[in-house]
Amino acid sequence: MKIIQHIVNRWLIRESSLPKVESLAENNEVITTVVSNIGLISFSIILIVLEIASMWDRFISRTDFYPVPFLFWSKYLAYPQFLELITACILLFALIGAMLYRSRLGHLCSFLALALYQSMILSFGGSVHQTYPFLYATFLFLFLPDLSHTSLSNTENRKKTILLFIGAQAFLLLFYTMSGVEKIIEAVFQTMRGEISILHPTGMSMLLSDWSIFTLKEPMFIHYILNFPLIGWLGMIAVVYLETFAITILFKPELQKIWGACLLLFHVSTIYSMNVAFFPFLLLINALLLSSPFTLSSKSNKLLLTRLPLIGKIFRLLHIL
Amino acid sequence: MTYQMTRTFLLFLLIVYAILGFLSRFSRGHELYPFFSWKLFDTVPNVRNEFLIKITSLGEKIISPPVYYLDRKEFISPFSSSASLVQRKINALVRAYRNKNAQDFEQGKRAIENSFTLPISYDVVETRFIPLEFLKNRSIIRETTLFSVTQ
Repeated sequence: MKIIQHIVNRWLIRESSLPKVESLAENNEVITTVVSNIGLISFSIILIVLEIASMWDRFISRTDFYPVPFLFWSKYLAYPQFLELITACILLFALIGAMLYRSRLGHLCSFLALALYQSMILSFGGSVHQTYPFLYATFLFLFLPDLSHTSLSNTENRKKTILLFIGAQAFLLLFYTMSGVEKIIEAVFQTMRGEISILHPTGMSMLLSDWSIFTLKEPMFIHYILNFPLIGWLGMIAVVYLETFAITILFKPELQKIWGACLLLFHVSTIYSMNVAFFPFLLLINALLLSSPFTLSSKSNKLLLTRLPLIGKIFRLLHIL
Repeated sequence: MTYQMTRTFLLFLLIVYAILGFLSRFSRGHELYPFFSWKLFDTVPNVRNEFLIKITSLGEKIISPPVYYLDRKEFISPFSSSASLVQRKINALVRAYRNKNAQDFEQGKRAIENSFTLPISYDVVETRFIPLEFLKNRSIIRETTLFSVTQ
């Protein structure tokens, strides 16, 4: 426990440049941006749940439907009726959520739209982890106060709004950190077993070739990575760094836009190299990091480099910058 | 909920997620809804041991020498558009063959037939290969034919 406390203090709190919530709450520009970004997230839910419309043919013809507990009521309806009802509910809730994003009813509708959507995909044996950051963001937004101008004249409400927005950022960044840590753990284990890991110069090309064989896909850039493994290796090192230290960016708001841009680039590159698109993540990166309301007044590039996790520390120690 | 309570609640949620998310790495699919370990693309398959099928005839056409089904992906049905789905069916067929379960074997054969847009005959082979080499030139470390299925 002491080690965790030491890491949190030394690597997060002491390095933190995030202003106190109390002072952020006094800034009208911050509040306005936070509210409009919450609106953007509510709207993005429509884009996510619309996937159901494109999957309609597959849903209606499928027989392997095993309802999760949240959909217990499906047994009281004939399957086609249930499918029509739940689809209508999901779309209606998503629309109300987007339209009434300043009200608590709107937040409840957004959460319900996403929870029903996930339950439906899960009932067909599908995977929903791509939409987890949205589920957690909309869950946190259930505790938001009313976001009307009158309500936001109250300091306590302004503080809570900012805190919950930071919470949504924290979950998104935590997920990336967990993914980075998992990659490092597995790389250590594979190296100890004498195997090639993702941190090995040929690791990425090995991983991609296996992926390509069993997905039957030949993404646009895969041949470059297979023929020049160094490209894939450098890319993987950058991704592991970007992911592992993601959570520290919560405390370094001046890096949030840059981190958001790099994460966006990472997701775009996986589309071209693996045909893997984490589409919902792109929407959330935009609302939480690229349009971060906490980014401080522009600092010099030199100063930003010294703020980079780990690398910045090395720069400072070696007096390079 | 007051601001202080919200702060404590948020911290609690983050810690719970980090712990349960990490623990979900030990569960099937690395997921315990709504927790996920984010264990994604972290393991490099150095060597693969797979059962594959080698097509010996496709429709009316005899294929000689036989080819891996991966090399005739244009004939894989759109409902089995990923080889992982076909692999699952092949593994089930081999399991039924080894357990001498005639009913499951027939079911497995039908599932594989439905994965292709034309009727096929094939050999089921047990293979060991390095993915990179296999993708580049289909080189195999070891291959043993288990049984054949004809139309």
